[in-house]
Amino acid sequence: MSKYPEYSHTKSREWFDRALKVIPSGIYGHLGPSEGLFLPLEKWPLISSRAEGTYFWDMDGNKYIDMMCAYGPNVLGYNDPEVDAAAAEQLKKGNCVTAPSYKMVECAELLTDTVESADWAYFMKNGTDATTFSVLCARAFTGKKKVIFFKGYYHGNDPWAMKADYPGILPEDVQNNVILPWFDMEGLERVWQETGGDVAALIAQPYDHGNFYDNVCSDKEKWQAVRKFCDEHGIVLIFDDVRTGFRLDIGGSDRYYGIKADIICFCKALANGYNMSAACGRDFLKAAASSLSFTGSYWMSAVPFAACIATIEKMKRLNTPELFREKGLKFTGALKKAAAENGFDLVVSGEPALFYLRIANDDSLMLHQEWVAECVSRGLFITSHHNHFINAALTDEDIALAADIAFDAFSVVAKRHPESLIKNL
Amino acid sequence: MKDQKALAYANMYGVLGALENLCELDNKAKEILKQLKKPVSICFDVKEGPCRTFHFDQSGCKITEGSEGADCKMNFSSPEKFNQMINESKPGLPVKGAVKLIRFLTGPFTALTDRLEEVLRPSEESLKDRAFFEENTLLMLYTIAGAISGLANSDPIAEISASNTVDGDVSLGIRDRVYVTVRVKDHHFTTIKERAENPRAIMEFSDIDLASGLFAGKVSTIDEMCRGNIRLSGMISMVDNINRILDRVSLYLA
Repeated sequence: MSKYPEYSHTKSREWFDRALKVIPSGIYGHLGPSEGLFLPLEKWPLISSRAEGTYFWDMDGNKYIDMMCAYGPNVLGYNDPEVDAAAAEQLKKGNCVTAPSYKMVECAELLTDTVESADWAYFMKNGTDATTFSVLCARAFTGKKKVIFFKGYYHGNDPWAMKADYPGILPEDVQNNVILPWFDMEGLERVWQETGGDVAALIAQPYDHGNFYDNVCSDKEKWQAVRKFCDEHGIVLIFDDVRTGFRLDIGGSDRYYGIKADIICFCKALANGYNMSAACGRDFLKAAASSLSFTGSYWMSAVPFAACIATIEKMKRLNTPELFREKGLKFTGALKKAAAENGFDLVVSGEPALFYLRIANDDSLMLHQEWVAECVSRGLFITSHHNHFINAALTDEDIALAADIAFDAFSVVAKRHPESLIKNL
Repeated sequence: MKDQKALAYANMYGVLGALENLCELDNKAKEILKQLKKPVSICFDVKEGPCRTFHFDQSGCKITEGSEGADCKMNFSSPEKFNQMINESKPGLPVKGAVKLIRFLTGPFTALTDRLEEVLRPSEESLKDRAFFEENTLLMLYTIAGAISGLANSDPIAEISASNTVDGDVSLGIRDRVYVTVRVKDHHFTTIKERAENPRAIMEFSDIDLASGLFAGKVSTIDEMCRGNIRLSGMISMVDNINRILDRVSLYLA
């Protein structure tokens, strides 16, 4: 008998069926069943009714400990009172106005004070906006074409950042992309030679946090070698800190790895769910940034700036990177213990603040998917293919509850698959 | 944009590849084979393209790679010429067993390929016959599965998807009806028309009607995944890449 009975999702499913009639795929993208890998669909909540702290509730009233944090934006806890109060106060004063609010200036000042490599900040709405801006800026500054990526990259959904086999993408959209293994210094030199030096930028996430495989942390030495290479060749180094930003280092993940990026992109943790992103850059790129024709209707709205200021100030006060490391280690340690007590080896990789999980000896991930589904259907929201996120509202009690649900889910899977237990392998 | 070489692979592994399944599933095809007095093995050798041998006898059709065992052979000077045979019935150059080849090509082979076209490109009216509808859907699955590997190994865009696909067997099928395996090894794809024993990923359509709708482009794969009508499991990145190659199959074989 399972300690945590499985949830039913009757009402959520009804809402999802309504969504399917009027929205392609019902929920498209990473929050939906397809990209979100809701395997099998009936185990997942689909549509939420509300959220608070580290929890959300679905349309049936089921409560979930949310270790995906909306895939990153929930950094302080859903509905953080300080952030929401700052946003609400600003809303009374004005939001999307012809003359942008002074909050924009305050926000840029705070970012340039906080992010070590930043001399200026440019605001937009999504991570994709920030990475696209950065590549445009690098090309405008250098007058060159090629952009180097590290294998397994994800830098958003604009055509330049995708692959030629994706629907709607033309080979011409990506013809200037060069993909290399992570930290392949010989490859970098080769590309430089083969392109006759026609390289505008190197764009990368701080470490390899790709999907479906163990995440691979970087180190200072490797990043310093890349920094040196870019300096020697006049290549703009773009740090895509959209996912990792403020979770490894309040001063930027480039500082975490002992370097200064030329442009660093932020989004998810920037404003605790209020919609904004930012690219911060070094002084020598400021004129190039000014030259771009790149703007949007809501990019200077004041409410997210107010939320961003409150979020950054609270993250600094809490020292979230240290907190997340500590909570991440505690959380993953508890899950590993639950796995071991049920005869499984749970592999944890990546930075503790953004840990990735998989069950060992399961190269198809089917066993892992089964366990994840049993966790989700009992109130622990995790995924089988993507890294997870810690938020500041996560308490020791939450971790204990999560570990107990994980234990229960492991015991269900263990009964179903005794052949998969370590002792029987 | 279709690449002629890739189209030749799609035709050889997808369209002609379905002959072995037609001969197994279709009563009219079985009747045609009964007219064969002796087994015939015919090789189609495409310069800068695929080369496969089709072995026919009264019990059915088997396909092997290369020209070994062929008692008649037809060469094509380019992928375009081979594609013309498929699309416009223009034969290539007989280089071995010419008399036997021409007799077979103009007789049973033409009858079989005509029947294949009838099943793969049916009229709306003929699909009202449930048995024929099901046969059409099963043959479509075999054709598509063959074309997936043909294109993964030859189409410049599908090759990108293949280059991002990890090793292992992907099981594709219609629940409780039929399954095929797409085997990936070092980014090379091979279609095996049997159920995978230890698949690394699974993509299973809930029923034959759904499969038919998907093959005809009447419903969306992603939409049906979201509705829970397509069962996915395992290393989904493999299925993602195969889905992208499926888009290419639609382009080439539409």
